Amino acid sequence: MKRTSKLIIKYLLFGISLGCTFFMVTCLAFSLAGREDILMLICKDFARQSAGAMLVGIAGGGTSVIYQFDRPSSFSKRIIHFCVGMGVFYPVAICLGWIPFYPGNVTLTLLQLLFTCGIFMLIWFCFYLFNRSEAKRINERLRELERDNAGNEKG
Amino acid sequence: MRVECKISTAYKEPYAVLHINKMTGTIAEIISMLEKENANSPALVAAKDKKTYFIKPEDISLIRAEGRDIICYDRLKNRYGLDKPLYELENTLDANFVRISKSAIANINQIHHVEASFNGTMELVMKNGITDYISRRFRKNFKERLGLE
Repeated sequence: MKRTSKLIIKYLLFGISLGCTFFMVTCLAFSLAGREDILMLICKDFARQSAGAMLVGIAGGGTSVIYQFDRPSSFSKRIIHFCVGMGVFYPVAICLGWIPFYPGNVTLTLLQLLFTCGIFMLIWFCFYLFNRSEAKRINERLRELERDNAGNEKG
Repeated sequence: MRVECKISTAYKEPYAVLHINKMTGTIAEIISMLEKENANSPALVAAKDKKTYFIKPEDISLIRAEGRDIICYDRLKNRYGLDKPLYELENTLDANFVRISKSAIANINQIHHVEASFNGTMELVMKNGITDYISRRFRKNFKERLGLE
């Protein structure tokens, strides 16, 4: 129980740091692009904007803590992670003006939702690529150990 | 403490030399752990079809919890029931065995390969075809045991 609480707090902090990093990087990008007008808007609403970034960080990054547990099933974990991530990101992004909102225009709203889902999928895919390269390293090490064992048996 | 480790296939049998000025509890524990390395683990008492078998650890592929039972699969995919909990087995078995999730222990020498999945876990495919997964929680430990961290 204590370990679980520690794990949840760790991921909560990870989510906050992830949100803050994205927030800072975005501001930096606007600054480098000379978009002081956007930066001024962010500064005027700094408390809400930064809190929103942290909240999205927790929802997207922090909730990945679910993969540390053996239950529920892998598929359910993915669904929960996706739903919580999207369920928080989408309203927060609209509320804080990060993405435009088209009330009444179903097609545009759906396209926007699809685009946001696409970004989420892209992040997942990046994690998959990272895991794949790690799996490759592990497999190479397993082959090495196998060769060593075979050599020792012969010796 | 400065630690030096030499890895080479030239060493047929691993040995360790410690240069210390006095024996401490930690060092005694380390010595005890090192002595267990490569020591033959006792055979496991397993049950199958109402018969009792003694299985040598090197013949074991995977041990995992299936429902309330602790099940052991050997190289030939034979399925046996064990009467010890996983944490106890983990302490009994030698360094070739590694915990891969809360509910499974795998024999490193019996792993065929690992595969990445989209959800952060890794699928483990044993040489006998049985699959399980390495949870993210135990991945670091798994990599350490392979000498990758």
